[in-house]
Amino acid sequence: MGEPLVSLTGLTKWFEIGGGMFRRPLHVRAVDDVSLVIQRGETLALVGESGSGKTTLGRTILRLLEPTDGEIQFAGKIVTHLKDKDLKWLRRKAQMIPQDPYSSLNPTYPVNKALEEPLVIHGLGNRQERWERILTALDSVHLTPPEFFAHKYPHMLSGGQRQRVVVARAMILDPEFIVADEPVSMLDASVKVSILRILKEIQENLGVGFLHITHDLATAHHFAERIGIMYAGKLVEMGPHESLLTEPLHPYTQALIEAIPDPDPENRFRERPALPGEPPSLVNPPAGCRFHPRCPIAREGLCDVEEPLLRELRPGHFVACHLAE
Amino acid sequence: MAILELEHLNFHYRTLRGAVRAVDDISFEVEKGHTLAIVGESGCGKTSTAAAILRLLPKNVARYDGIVRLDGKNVMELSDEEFRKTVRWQGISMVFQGAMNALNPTARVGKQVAEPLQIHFDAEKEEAMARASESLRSVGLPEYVERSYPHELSGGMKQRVVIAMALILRPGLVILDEPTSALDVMTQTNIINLLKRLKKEEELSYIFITHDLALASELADEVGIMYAGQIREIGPSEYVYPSPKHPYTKALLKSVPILRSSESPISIPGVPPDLIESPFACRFHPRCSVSFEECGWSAQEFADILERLRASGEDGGVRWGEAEVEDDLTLVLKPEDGMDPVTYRKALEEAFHEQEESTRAFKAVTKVEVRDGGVAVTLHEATTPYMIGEAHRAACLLLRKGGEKDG
Amino acid sequence: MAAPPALGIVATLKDAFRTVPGIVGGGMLVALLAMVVIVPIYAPFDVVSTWGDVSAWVDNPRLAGPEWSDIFVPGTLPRTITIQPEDFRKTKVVSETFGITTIVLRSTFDFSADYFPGELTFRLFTTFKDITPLVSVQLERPDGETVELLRTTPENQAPTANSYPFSQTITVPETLRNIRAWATSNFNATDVAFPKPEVTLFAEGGEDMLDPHRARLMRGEYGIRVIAVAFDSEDNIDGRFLVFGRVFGLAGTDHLRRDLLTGILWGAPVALAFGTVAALIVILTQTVFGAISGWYGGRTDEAVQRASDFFLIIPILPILILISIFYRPSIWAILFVVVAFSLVGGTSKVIRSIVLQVKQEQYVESATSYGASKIRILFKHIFPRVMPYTFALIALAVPAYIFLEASLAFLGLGDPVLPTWGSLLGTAYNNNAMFNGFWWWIALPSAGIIFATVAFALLGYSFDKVLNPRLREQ
Ligand SMILES: Nc1ncnc2c1ncn2[C@@H]1O[C@H](COP(=O)(O)OP(=O)(O)OP(=O)(O)O)[C@@H](O)[C@H]1O
Ligand SMILES: Nc1ncnc2c1ncn2[C@@H]1O[C@H](COP(=O)(O)OP(=O)(O)OP(=O)(O)O)[C@@H](O)[C@H]1O
Ligand code: SF4
Ligand SMILES: [Mg+2]
Ligand SMILES: [Mg+2]
Repeated sequence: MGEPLVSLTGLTKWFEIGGGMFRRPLHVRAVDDVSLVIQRGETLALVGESGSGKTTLGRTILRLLEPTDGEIQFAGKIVTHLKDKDLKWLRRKAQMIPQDPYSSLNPTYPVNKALEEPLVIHGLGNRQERWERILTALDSVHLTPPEFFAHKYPHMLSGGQRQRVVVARAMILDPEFIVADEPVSMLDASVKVSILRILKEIQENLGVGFLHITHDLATAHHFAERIGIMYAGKLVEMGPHESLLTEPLHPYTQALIEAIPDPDPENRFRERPALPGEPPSLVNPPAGCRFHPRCPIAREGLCDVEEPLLRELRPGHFVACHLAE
Repeated sequence: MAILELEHLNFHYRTLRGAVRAVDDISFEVEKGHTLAIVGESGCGKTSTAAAILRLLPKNVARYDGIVRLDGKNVMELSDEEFRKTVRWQGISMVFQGAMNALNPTARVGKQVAEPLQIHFDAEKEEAMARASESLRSVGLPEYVERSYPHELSGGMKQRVVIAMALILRPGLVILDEPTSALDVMTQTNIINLLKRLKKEEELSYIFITHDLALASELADEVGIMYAGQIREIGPSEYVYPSPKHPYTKALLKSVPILRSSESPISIPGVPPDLIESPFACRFHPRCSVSFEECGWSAQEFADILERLRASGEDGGVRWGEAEVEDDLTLVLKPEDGMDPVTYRKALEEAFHEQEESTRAFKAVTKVEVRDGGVAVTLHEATTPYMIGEAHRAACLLLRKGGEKDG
Repeated sequence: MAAPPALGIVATLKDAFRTVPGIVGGGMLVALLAMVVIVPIYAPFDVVSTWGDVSAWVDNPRLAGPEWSDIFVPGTLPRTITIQPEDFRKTKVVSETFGITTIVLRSTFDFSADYFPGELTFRLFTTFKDITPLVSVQLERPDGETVELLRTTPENQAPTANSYPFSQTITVPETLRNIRAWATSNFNATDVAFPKPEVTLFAEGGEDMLDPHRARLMRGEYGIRVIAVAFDSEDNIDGRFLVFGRVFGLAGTDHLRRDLLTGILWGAPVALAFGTVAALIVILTQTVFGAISGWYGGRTDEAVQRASDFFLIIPILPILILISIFYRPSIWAILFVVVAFSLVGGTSKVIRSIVLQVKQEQYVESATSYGASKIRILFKHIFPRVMPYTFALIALAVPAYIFLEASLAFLGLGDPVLPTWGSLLGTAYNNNAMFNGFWWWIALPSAGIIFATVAFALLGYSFDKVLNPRLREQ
């Protein structure tokens, strides 16, 4: 495997809140010391509860946010603290697919204008070439015939169709990396899968690397090569999807898997094991392992004192738990 | 015995574009102590069904009729005042979609939970508060929650508060409208466990509204599958999950990514329908992979399909000509570049036949004849599907006795 | 607050003009605009130089109500009857004896209204060589009586008129003296303190004919005769006799005899121009500042917000009053001051909050992620979203500025030259129109203000209906 597409080392993003004239600001430790790599043409799914820092991580990698600490490398180049004007090439190589198809398209732009804008910004092609690229992009997300959709306004499209347009817009600059932030969570069950398939096709056919943010482990299982589990701003486990699901090493991952039902009429006869409590505050996270207050196997004097580091316990399968082996 | 029976319930909204048939001739029953899960995609009319049962009507009602029997008594005959006094909240209560975010931010939780008691029973404040605190305890909330404001609580706790509100008058039936969809998996599981416990301990009946088939199986004794304002399949979970009857249910079950299986989910083609101009006869037919000539194809729909095939260049051997719709079942195709109509007719007929598996509308073609320099295509007349079966029933024409086509 | 609706300007306008208030308001606005366009075309009129020129209006009755006031009273109110020089010339008789030229002008008119006329005025145009001619003006009544109104030696040479407003008893005391003498001697009339020539002359002969409150009107054919004794054969006279009515035109007249319809019609473009231009400039600048403030945030935001607070507490009306007292500024100078003191303010705050919401929408962040610069996003994505609101705010602001101009004009501090609805009201107020029952003087300019205000308010409301999802329900 050659040089990784994206490589994060100790990436940290804290938000400052509530600072005032006489008050010291507090810090939300939304992403804390995360290291990972994403290869070209692979999908890494990032799974975690609401507020665990998934979106923040994705936005920081795309340099929509300024990292607090750590390093981001993109295709071998360090982009950690580049200024806006030096980021233009990254803006072309790395794209984002946001969660809400209803707000991720400008309602006043017809589809062709929405798709043309990135090309115009990067000065790519003349009118005719841009038009052709738009049609190709629409075709690649199965909005056929593309001419039919090119002149539609977002409000004339269903949620699934909009999300396809958003995917087409992300694809139009031929990016190498895409952060898809819950790309199907707002869509109907019946159309979800079709969007996920399109993303898979793009990944496989065009060799695009994906960071697929989701809170749905089942989706991650079917559409990603590797899965990373986030808990309270920390990456607690990461590994190939089968290995992570069949042999979860972190107690949080284990609990998460337990909590997810499959469609089965037997479910109703028993209660499902679930962790008590809630994820901790990111302003004042627990000492030691951030999971220890909810952990069923936490060991006093260890888990609440010492922060567990990410260790590779199986080939390519990392976990941050003192007791995992 | 059934605690709730619906018969031919209709509830349509009036809008500028036309009537939204959100609840279209729905019939089902809920057994005492059982849970009926109503599963369907966004906008198919789940919340509207709940609103129709509880008679929570907006101003723009176009139609509201049918029979709603609670404990054997038709409550549709009650006046609004009687309904409010005797049915709403005491007979049937509801956990509203997104209600946890609609709690009054300026009032303490205990007071908000006690409110229904004071409204419906003019209960003394003390007594109401005592009942409220009891209700809050029963959903597993610690005592201090009573005195808290909503913003001081986590999402899971707020959802429990909302459930406590629904339970305070001890109704026999609780409608749960997406009670966990805004919550994280772990919190969701805790809430579902709570609902399971309450169901067992209090002998509650639920109507559980969700779009998630997996989640539905956590509570459902019976499942109803809703599509475009209609119940299309209903029956005991034990039957519906392992052997669904309706093609939509089958497709929906296959589209769910399953954690403990490596079988890939398969998407359903097409887009969810519009409730104002829904497809004719079987509303699922444009997306159905086993649809056939009777399912409801109209000439306009047929013409649109040809138009799209034409635009995408998939002409499959013939050039699809411009289509002109004559009536509901007839359209005329004009051959392009001066092609002889007789040859054209033959080419069309062959193309329709060859491609009928991929473009199922072609199955509906009954007659292809030359007329006025063009080719007239006549479609098969449609039959509206009706519920077939006893305990487990579904509305698909393929379920008719001896009516099996295409397997 | 719900997210801003997903509509462009065109769609918003289309939807707005489909609502009932949109249709009504739009119709009213179209009517106003049509009036603004049609009036100068069909009634060209140099309003700027004429409105303030008293001599331009002398042939109109003073403080006459609109002609349609008839509907409020039994019978008909008198219209103005004018006997023009041409009418007199038709019967002109000139005779010369011993170097003395006698000129006789005579004309008749039918007086059939049900009320006494408003005023009587005679205008004499004389051409003479050395010696002023001697002129006698007489009124012939239907009962055969003839009253000499005036015997005079006119001083002005034509074309300057010698004007004899008989009803103004201080200017022409002789007339009243003649009338008194005639009435008391011929009809035994009882004298009163303040008789009115236009009453007594048109009253049935009798005891009460000098008492304006009790005299009874005599309808019929009246005549006016002018006899001049001139001393040169070239001398000539012409006359114009005005029996002023008590109603005039569609909107009546003011104390300077000016046609209020002209004032109201010409006030419309002034009000509309001032209202729309002020609203446009103010709301657009505030929109720009508000959008910049919301979009860039940080120090820029802070600065704009503080400035808005500052401008918001500046009392603009008192400032304008102060300035007006010292400078009597033109309407455009007032406009400039209004704009200068409203560069930022309430609207920039509203727009800022809308921008803050739009900023949250993911397409804005997407645009950043595919490389759009901040300024590009501001112009291409943010502005198009706030423009519909800006439209609504403009529509709603126009009435406010129409009112502002009217208030200034009312206080006498508006444009010194142009008639505007506000200045019409102001003069009406200063002339105690309310107490004297000159209702038209108040009601009609007010109606103009209300009409324009309501038109814009309805439009603004229709925008609101489209833009505000809560109102949009259904
Ligand atoms: N701009 C910001 N300022 C302050 N805090 C922020 C900001 N953005 C995010 N946060 C906080 O950072 C934490 C992580 O948020 P993030 O959106 O990354 O979570 P997430 O995992 O994507 O959650 P979700 O599943 O709900 O999208 C949260 O506690 C959030 O409140
Ligand atoms: N007050 C209303 N006026 C007009 N149409 C309405 C009204 N309320 C709902 N609808 C429409 O009725 C249809 C059914 O809505 P309903 O809320 O019952 O769907 P749902 O199945 O609960 O969807 P979701 O899963 O999104 O909650 C939708 O198309 C919706 O747009
Ligand atoms: S280290 Fe301890 S607390 Fe942390 S996860 Fe492992 S077991 Fe749980
Ligand atoms: Mg997120
Ligand atoms: Mg709903």
